[in-house]
Amino acid sequence: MQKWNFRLLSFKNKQIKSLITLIILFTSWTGFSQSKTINVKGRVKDAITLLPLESARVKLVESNQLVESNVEGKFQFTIEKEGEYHVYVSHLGCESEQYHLDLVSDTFIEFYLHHYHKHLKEVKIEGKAAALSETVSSQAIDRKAKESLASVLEKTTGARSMRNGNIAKPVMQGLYGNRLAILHQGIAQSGQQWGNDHAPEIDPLAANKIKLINGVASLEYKGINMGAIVLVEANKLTSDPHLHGKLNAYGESNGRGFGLNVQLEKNQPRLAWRLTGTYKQNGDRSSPDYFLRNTGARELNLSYHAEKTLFHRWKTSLYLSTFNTELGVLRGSHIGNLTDLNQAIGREQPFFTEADFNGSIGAPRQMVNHHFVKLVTKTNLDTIQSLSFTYSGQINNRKEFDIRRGSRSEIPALFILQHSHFLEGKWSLVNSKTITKAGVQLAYSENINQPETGVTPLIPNYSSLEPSLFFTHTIYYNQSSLDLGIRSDFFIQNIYTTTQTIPRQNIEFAHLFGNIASAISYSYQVTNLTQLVFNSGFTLRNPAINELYSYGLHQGVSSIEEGNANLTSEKSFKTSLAIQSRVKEVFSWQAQAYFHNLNDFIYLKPQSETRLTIRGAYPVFNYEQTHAQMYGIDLSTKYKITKGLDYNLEYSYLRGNNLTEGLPLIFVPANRLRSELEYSKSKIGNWENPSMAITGSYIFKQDHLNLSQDFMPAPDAYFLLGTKISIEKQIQKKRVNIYLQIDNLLNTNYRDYLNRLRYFANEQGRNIVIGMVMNY
Amino acid sequence: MKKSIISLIVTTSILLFTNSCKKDDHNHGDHDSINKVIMELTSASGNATLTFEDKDGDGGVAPTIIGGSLKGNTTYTGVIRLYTYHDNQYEEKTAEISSEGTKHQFFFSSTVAGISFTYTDKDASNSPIGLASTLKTVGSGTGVIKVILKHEPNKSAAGVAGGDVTNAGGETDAEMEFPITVI
Repeated sequence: MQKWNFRLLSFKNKQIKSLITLIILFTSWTGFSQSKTINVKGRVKDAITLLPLESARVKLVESNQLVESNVEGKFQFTIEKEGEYHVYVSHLGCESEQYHLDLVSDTFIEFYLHHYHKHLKEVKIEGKAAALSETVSSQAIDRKAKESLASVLEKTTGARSMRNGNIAKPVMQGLYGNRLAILHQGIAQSGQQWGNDHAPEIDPLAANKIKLINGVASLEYKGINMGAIVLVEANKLTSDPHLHGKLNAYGESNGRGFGLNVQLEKNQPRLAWRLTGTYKQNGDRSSPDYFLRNTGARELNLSYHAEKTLFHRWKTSLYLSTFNTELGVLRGSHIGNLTDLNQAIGREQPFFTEADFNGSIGAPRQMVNHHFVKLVTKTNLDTIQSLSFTYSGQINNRKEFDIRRGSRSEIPALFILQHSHFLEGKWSLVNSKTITKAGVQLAYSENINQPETGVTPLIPNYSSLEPSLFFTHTIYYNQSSLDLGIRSDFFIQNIYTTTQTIPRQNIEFAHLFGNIASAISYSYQVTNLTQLVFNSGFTLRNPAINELYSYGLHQGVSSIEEGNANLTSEKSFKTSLAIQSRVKEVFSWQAQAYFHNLNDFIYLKPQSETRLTIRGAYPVFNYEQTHAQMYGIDLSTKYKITKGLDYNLEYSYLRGNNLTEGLPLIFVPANRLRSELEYSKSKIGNWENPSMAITGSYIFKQDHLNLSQDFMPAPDAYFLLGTKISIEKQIQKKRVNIYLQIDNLLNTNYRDYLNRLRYFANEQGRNIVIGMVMNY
Repeated sequence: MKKSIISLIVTTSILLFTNSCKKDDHNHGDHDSINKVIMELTSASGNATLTFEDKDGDGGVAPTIIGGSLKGNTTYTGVIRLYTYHDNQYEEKTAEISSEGTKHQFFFSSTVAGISFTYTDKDASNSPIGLASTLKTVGSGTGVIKVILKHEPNKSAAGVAGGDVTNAGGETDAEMEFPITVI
């Protein structure tokens, strides 16, 4: 007679939890407990289809036992002594994971694995609410160790990067900067989001998990919310009581760069913690025909995450991080006036191009330090209600160095120090049929230009106090779920600037804005294999400080930008419909269509005036408002040709129009077609999970643009080929992954519409990256 | 607990507010910008002072430009002086340009037929700067003299030492046109 005890454990796995959700069902059959040997049986299933997974590899690290699951997904092994073990589970097309098990008696384990979609097309039910989200997993981030946050994100269908050489910021369904909130550990990233050449100061390697969230779920976060937000999070801390870690290293040919990332983590009896450090550097990148002078970069980041339960009921977590970078800007892109720009555009090679590689960084350059702290404490009031309090503080210290006369190149031409603070109280109630969340938030930020620059600042000093409230509610009913949410933000701002007329005098302005955002999401599980998600949201966005008060010469594009203190809030209405469907196990597809209407859309409008200054004549752009629309579709498919051979195809289309003026919107990403063919096996000899992929991307020309809207026509369409080979091996207790990646395999010369350097230089040529990720 | 949270919020916000921006930290004008350029042209048969003044830089107030009248078939000695305007006063920057001669060069041209320019100064690398020059007029006419000051031009590029701006590159620090009449 066997007596079955079921224990349901939710494991905090070492790596990404969102892609592989693991539910381990322990069953101890006490009848055999006298026996010295322990039988471990189990089953591996697909978490979505619940079908058994054949040929999943389950490895017991300590005893070096390896078994494969059979047709029914079942596996079993016997161990000689009880104790703590690490189990490594892998399956073709799934992310490999390691778990910690304490085996004292015969045990039955079930692993539910999520298939891992290389192009991440999964519509996830975020927080069980019907929100659309896409996630870039930890493993995917690890293997893109050399990339910035924006570049990592770009692997998802609707995302692009706005660039200034190696400075990249994310663009989501056409939204960026002031219209796209980037949340670091759930906190709106402070900093200088207004600048197209200001990259978010976040280390993707420390964060482990990057999500794109649409719909109601995004309303609980502070930050501009126009239908899409980027959420960068750290994984949950490990439940493993042993010290584990990860070493991630790479070297790359283009720019002669290298990087090293180390993670250590442990769940001590009273404190779970993780420590992460990253160092990256590269020198001048090169286009196929010449070096891109002064495009080096350096980055040093550290983060510490700890969790502890205080007073028996307050689960408290502390997250600290520091991000420090120095970035060179292409020397040949530093220009004076429009004549200089026109001269630069016509050139075969940028000015200042040199024949030799240069590893150092000179002016123009940026130095940015970003320090972040977050303290959260959470308690359960009863079985269904919980309460959490959060404090977060950020310091953003941005210095930009220009080429200056005298010895002033060492004095920043722009030096802004921003302090931000955030407090939140959040209540949530989770029933079997409903989820309700409500919260109060208070944010304060202070932006101060440091006077030693000797240059009139482009952005004035300001302070902003921002109280907010939100409420979201989710209802489940049979095969469908409905989400409703509303949030309201107030902005009490004081601006300290100088008059534009001579003699210059100090002047103060005050603004009060009230924003409201509301959204509704509806999700319907049509069949087991098909899901529909509908999202609709209305958002008010108050004009940002740069739109109100920036004043001066924008060097990079040789134009004068003038803010407009009379701007009103932008009214955004976005609707999207997504369908995700699988046709058996071999074919799956997902499509998301969206329509975005923006009344009083704030944009830079070219003025008829050309302003004569002592440096020559400049075109003038003022911030004005218009009625704009954006609409697009993101489509992706995955086809399993045979076992081990997968083909992905995805396409994204986006159009933007300025309806009032009858013109296309500028800076709208060009359409993109991308496909990937991947071959993978479970093993070759002693090597596990070997895979090889070839990726082709075709970026169309942005032809929805009038010639008069830019200084030069949009760059031509281009095609890029890339490849990646990856292999894994277990060496004693270490799991080693080695990969070789080649970007721009054909060394194609091209320019991209979203890169400001398109006026000056070709994009990077071939880059060969060799990397290693070791888990121990 | 709730009370203490509320009081924490209140004290923090008071603290933040009282610690507000110092309002007098602004810069009143750029130490880098050039706001006034004077080109003195002297000759045995008369002088001219060309002036380009732009106190507010990128601002909307139009610059003040004073041209001049030159005599035909005359050789003028040209001397350039530059000023920056900040904190409501001018500061001369000519010496800064001259001490960083290798990083600067003026380029001259004119729409009046026959006018030619020659550099008469040298930087540490024996290349011209243009703070001192000579200007020769031939026949009469009306037009402009264009003066461009480049920062970090490629002084060894083809034609640059001879005064041709085409291959110079660099950043334009000043670009002015002075109306002139040659009689």
